[in-house]
Amino acid sequence: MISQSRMPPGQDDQPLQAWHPLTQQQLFRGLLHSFSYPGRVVRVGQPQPLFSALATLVDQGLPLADPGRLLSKLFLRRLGCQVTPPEEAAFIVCEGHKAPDFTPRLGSLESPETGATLLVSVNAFTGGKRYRLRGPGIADTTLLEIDGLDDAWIKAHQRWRSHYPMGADMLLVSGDSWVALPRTLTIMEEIR
Amino acid sequence: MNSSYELPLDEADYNFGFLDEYAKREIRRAILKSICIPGYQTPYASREMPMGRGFGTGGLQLTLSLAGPDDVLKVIDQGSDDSVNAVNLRQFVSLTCPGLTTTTHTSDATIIQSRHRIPEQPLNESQVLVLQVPYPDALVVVEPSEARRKAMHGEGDYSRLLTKLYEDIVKFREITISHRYPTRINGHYVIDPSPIPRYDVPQLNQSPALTLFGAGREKKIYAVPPYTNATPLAFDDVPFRTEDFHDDRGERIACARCGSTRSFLDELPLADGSKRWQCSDTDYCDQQLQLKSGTLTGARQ
Ligand SMILES: [Zn+2]
Repeated sequence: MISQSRMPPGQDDQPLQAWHPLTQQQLFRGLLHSFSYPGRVVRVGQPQPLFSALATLVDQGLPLADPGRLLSKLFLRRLGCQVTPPEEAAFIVCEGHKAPDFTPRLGSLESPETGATLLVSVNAFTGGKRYRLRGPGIADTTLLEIDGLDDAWIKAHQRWRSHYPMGADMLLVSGDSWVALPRTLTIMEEIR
Repeated sequence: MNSSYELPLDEADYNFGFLDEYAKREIRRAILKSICIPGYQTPYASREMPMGRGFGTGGLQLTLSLAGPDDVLKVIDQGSDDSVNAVNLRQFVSLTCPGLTTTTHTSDATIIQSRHRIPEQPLNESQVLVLQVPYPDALVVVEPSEARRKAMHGEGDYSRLLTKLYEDIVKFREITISHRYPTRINGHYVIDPSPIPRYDVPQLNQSPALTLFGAGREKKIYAVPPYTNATPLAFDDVPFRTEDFHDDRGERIACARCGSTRSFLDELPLADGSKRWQCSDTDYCDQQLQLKSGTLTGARQ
């Protein structure tokens, strides 16, 4: 039995709206904008960005991992996905305050698109550590503050891309916003 | 009307955007991975569309997966909004996406689907350019096996393509490719930028707008994200050059209609055997004419 108290509220009631085709279209445009302009904090316009992103991208038979058991059985059933260990998943739901204890799918040189997408919940995009990002989608460099993300995530993200084009792509979620960190980014902690 | 265009107009029972939600989700996942791996040809399961492949179905599936009721769509073919193909595609999207509006003005559009041209007017961050692609793989001229091409792409190994380009130069003293000029994205993948003229290739470099490429027949999607390097392949001794619109006296040829000397020109044969040059981008040409006559409202370049 999953302990209900660890589950963020709302996934069983509100998010039905997240499967409406027009809502999904808007949510997808939010995701498109985020991945096009990495490091920008994008307001989602729907409650529960984590569930909204999953409803928009995940469907029947896709391998999804939820090692922290953040998703309810009902929500997983609505997604129709197949629950797998993180090492085998296309989408992985992660908690930012815990260091990663797995290596996600990184794809292959021939088929790098099979590298996983990680949805990582963090506390906030203000306060916390400050990172300088560089890469496609960023005109020069940009700064991103992340509160509630264990350092090990950024180190792992950078390690996973060391055989680019292999790598994993991250979507950080917090409050009503999300931020994309595709594998193309160089991320350096900026000491204040 | 185009005979390959068979949207049953009397059946109002479509999904928004024609494609079912599973198809859209799959295309959307492929789009995001394409952005995360700039220039990589992401495979997807191309759907049957009610028009023949080769009529821009790859681009159309991208547009339908992006579009919402708030979007403003522009469709051009060879720079023109009025060609049969552009009109058909535009009608199809507006019929299947209730609420969406269409425009011919580049500056008003949120989604621009195009074949063979990038608009003259620089795009901005609120716009997405969708290019229709007939042949997505730049390596097909040197390697017939897709498996081997995928390995070469993965390793960023374009030595054979460069050799082929150099052989052309030795033979013809110039890079002979006029369209589909192989272009390196973010220092790794070389893409076929679709049949745009060389003149348009620099527009892909560090553009504020996202560019998506859709190849329906080959079932591939690829992307040049915003603010990303797009570098046409070239050599130190033979630099990349765009099409030259200078006459015998070395003067830049002007558009016969609007007078612009800063646009890509189409050569139009006249009945008397002579020829005339005119902007290929009809919206740009119209804007220039209106600027001249002072009827243009709002600031445009
Ligand atoms: Zn003109």
